[in-house]
Amino acid sequence: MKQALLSINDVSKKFGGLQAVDEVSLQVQKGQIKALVGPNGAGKTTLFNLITGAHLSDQGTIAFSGKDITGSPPHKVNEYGMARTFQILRLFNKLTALENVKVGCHRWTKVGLVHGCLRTSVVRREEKIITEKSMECLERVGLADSAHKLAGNLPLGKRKLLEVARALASDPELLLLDEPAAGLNDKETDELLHRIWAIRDSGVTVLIIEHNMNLVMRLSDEVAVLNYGRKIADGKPAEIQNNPEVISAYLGTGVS
Amino acid sequence: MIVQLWAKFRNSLASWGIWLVFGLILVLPLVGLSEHYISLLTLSAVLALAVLGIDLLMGYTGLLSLGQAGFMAIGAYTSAILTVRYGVGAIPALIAAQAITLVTAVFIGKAVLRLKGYHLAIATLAFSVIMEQLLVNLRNLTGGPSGLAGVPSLSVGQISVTGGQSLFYLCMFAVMVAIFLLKNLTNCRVGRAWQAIAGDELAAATLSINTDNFKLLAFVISACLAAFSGSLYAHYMHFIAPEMVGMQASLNLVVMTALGGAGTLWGPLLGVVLLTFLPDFIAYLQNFQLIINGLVLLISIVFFPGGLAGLLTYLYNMIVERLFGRKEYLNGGGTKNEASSPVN
Repeated sequence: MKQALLSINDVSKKFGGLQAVDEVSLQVQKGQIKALVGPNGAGKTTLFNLITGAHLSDQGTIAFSGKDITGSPPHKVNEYGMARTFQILRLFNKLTALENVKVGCHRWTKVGLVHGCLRTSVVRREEKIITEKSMECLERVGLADSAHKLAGNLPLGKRKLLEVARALASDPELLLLDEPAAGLNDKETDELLHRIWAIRDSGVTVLIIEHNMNLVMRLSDEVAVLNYGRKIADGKPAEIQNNPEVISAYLGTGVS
Repeated sequence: MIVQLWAKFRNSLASWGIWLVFGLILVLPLVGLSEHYISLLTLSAVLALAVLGIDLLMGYTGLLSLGQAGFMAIGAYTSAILTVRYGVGAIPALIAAQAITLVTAVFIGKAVLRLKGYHLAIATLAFSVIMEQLLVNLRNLTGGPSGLAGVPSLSVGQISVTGGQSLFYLCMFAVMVAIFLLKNLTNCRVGRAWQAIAGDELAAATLSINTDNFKLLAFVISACLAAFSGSLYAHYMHFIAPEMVGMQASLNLVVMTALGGAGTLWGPLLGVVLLTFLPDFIAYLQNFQLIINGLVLLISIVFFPGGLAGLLTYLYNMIVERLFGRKEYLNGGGTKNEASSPVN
């Protein structure tokens, strides 16, 4: 079996008395779209936070492209090639949409104090590349015409897409999306589906947390299901749909 | 056509307007501005350096520091002690002050920058208080509460900057250089990283920004500007005492920044000028000075939270709207480049 792009082994996290994530192992193969589903409070976002370094795991290891990244701080995780969006949006509301995406370019740009102070030709050249790349990322999510609006003034649907554009600007190998479709209407969800496919086709692997089962079944190559912090199923969408444990987690078990 | 020309003019005004104003101020002594007002303008320029540092910290990086006068004290007293007690030249003393500040700021920054919001404000305020107490109690070195007198005028080699006018031009030049550098810095990758940290620290971190390092960078630059301001202050006054660079001074600097409009670089300069000239204009109301200062601040916070810069931008937009009969927002609402699209 070929090496997974992201490989999580027996990772656990406890908040006080609550076992939020309990010995979860998960593989994401390069080039696939993998979905992470489960009822509210199942530990999906916590798992994201553990992967991206926002929280430290109590045990277990996380490897990215064969490199052990357990315990790396968030900025290192992004440097390694992982970018994420947030379920509760964390945009820079006082900056324009374009400026938000420009911040995303931080990973592969170099300008420091000396060049920055003197605005040398190095800076001007880099700024030009950053602007082009940022506009391209905005176009990829269909926000080019909102480029000069303040992020805080955009409607919810556009703000969610802006977070995706900002994450894409860092040129990630793996994109982690935390409930991108929550709060979107049917038409917007359908658009999102095609945009995620397009992102995958451009060579970015996607790990997505999503509640909208219809979207998950159409979108993903593989689905992993969490319940009470444990992984209860992992496989092709069709297999997951018929897995009795998954059905009981979502619908409850019969009384008899 | 006219609209397009106007839009071009407006854009260049935004980037060149500040230099235009500087140019006008530089001409003032030549057209016979009195010594007294030149002196007040010089004082404004000296304080402006410290305030620019606070704007970088507060307006761009979103860190509230109430300890800037502590760094001003390091600058002022290093310059004063070295020149008065050891006969060192003004420039070597200034460089020594910068070096000491750099080291102190790195240590203090590493210690306090793990705190956020009001906790950071209180920790930095404590630094300012400690500095003031040290200055009062280290009598042999600092001259204690009565201060240190006889600080010589600035001199570069053989050229001594004694006259009011030459010092005025020197300080104005320093402020203009600082503005030039900070404008460049805040408009590139580094400035965006700072603004990102002010917006949302975790989001900034997940985009490769090493938030600890960038916060420390802003803190150290800000401290060095404050120390530079302090050194010039000592040479300008020819005297330095603890309360001139104490806790009250720290608060005043922050008030100037907030009143002017943090995060704009040019706004805080207005704040400095206003709060430096105001006490002079209302000198005959001696007993009410503090009350009037307080009132100005209160009115600013309640009615125009964006400070003077916010108020002026608002008025400017309103006038443009009246003249051209359409809405144009520099920040927010519509798009920034709306004005460049021609209307029939």
